[in-house]
Amino acid sequence: MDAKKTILIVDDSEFVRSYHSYILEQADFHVITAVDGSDGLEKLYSRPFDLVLTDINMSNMDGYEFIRRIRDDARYSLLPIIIVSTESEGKDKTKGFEVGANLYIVKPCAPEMMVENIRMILQ
Amino acid sequence: MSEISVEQFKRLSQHIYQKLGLHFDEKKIYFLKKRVEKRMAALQIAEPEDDVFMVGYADPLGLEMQELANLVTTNETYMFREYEQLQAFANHCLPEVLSTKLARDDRSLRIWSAGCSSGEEPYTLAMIVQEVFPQAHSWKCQIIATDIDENVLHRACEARYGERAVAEVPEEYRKKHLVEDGEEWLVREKTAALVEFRHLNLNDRMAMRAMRGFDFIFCRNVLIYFDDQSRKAVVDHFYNALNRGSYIFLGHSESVGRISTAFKLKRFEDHLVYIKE
Amino acid sequence: MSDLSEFVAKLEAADETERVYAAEDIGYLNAAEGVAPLVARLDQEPSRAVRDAIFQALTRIEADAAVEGCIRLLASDDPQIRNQVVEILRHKGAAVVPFLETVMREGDKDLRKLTLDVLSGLPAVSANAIYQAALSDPDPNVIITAVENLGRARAHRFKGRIEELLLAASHPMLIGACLEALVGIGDEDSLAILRRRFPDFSMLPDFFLVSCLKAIGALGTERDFAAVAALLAERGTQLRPAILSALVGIHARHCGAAHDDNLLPLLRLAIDDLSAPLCSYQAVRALGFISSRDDVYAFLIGCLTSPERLVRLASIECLRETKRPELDEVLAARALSETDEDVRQALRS
Repeated sequence: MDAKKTILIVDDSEFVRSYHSYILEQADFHVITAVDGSDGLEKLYSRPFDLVLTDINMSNMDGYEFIRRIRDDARYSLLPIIIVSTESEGKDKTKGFEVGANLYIVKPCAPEMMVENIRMILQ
Repeated sequence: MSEISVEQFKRLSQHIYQKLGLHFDEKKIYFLKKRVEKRMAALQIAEPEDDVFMVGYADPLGLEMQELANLVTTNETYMFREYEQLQAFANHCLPEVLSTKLARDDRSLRIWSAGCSSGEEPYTLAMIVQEVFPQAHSWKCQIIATDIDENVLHRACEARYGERAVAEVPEEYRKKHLVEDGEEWLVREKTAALVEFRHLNLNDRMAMRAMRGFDFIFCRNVLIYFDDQSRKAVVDHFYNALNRGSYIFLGHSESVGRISTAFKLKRFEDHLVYIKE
Repeated sequence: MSDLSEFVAKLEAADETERVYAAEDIGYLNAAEGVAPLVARLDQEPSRAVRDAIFQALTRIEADAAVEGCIRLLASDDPQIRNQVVEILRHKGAAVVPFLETVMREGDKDLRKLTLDVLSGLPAVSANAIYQAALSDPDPNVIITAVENLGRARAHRFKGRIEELLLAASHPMLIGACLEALVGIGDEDSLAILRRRFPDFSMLPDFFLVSCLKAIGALGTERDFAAVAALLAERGTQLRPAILSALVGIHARHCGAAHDDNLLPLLRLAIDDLSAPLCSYQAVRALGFISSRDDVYAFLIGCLTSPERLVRLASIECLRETKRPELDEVLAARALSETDEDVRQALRS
């Protein structure tokens, strides 16, 4: 049996981190959370991850800068990154893909849809 | 008084991390919980939930947060404190900076120990520099050690320490860089000569602007005592004081990234360090 | 040349450090006229350090112009700018509320959400009108953020509205947010509504159950204790911390609740699983509810030799609460062979 996949959830809302964590843990993922991009990078560098789920609107370091810095590091060029954001304009999605995200999900999103998208990306 | 639960404690730690960038090891929960409970008793707060609420949402000046941070950090200073971080410096960052400088034919090395207190840190750095880099004395190598407290700087200049301060100094370093004098230890002249002590107030922005051209800045376990804005101002000044390709070291439990995102994170084996690229 | 014009000119300097100092100096001048050049520079400024200095300067300038300038920046395409001005506005406190009321009335959903992000650091009472509007907003994210803020800020006067939302909401995230908010501001009415909405919480998916457990921990009664404790056997290990926290919460208000004979074996499920030491610690501490029982006392004595130090520490805390006369001797004897310093200290104190 494969080891559990590990997901990094980055969001500045305690409630959102908790909410998404429990959805993913029930779907049998191991989850680690971070409060913003800067915290996310420290955690990312501290152990292996299979996927990153990140918000965009966070102070200190926003999601786009976080993704840029991940992609700047050749070790993480293939790490799947999913943006989960309240912003739904086309330009936000375009920017998301430009900086290197693999998928853009608008929140709030149905728990099953989030899990399905993650499983699809991880295949 | 109700006991603080694990969940409440985690939330309090989260607040402290978000505001002050201080990490707490889960293993230390017992020790930290006791200190927080003591603080609550002093404030006559019976319900831990009220304390969590206060620190998170009713502490506009961050004073209570600061009190808690003071309580849960240890203040003692000694040589070779936070050894793992010094290993990252000695084994990775310092060799990298030296070889880059050598390639440019730049034979200078400037290190700033900010908030040096009684000098244990700058002398530690002086020892490490000589071990990693025996040619230090043929380069223009300076360790500038600053503090706001003149009295403590005086003591630092004497380069004389009791057993507690040198307890963590590795044996081979002790032999080479310290000499026993009765019950005390003196830093050898050759090592002490690398360090220059100066008075400096980290909140004095003009004095801070005068500090330029450093390859390393150490400011460990000093900024926890500053408020948010001052802390950020100091780290922003550190950024300007550093050359490109240079490193900043705050305390092991302090996070540079929570204070300034101008620095970039790098990993060397198990160590995370911050660099001005 | 005035100081300000000199500094503004240096905002265009080729050297990054000069631009940083220019921004810093404009901030310290604390003049309303400094705002426009700082804001204008932001968009074109490539350096993060200079942008930071501009943000700090905007924080320092006390004039209304700084608030107005930041409010306009909430609509920036650049998320760093948008989110840093949220921080700046938060820092400026309740004075920004009248300006935010306009944004709330006229802004799109993203701006309205950012408005609530600003308010999350402020006492809710200063922004009643905004919250009233937010709780009926067409966008779910605006409502969710408003609910989160109100719960955290303990805004009791909004309890009724949030209870209504809990009953009517269909989106799981909003339901969860309402449950969590009621932890801070709920009462027995809220508990009744929770029971109406979720008559059998044991079947809920994890993300709902956790929020329910938080609410039950804060509001629940003796009758909830056994059902919550049973979840330790019925649900996944990742829920144990939430279950244990709920038990601790109920017990704090109803100390007669923990009379169930099943409690020790249920708690042992968590205690014996040393892969999550903090959870084991919590579970041992929960044994404090029933530590007067002989079988529990004996089990706690056994925990003094657990390989996990947090279990040993928790058992010491529980044992001390029993105040049994022989305890001091037992703990002192144990201290002789204890290798961990914190535990040794706890055994001796």
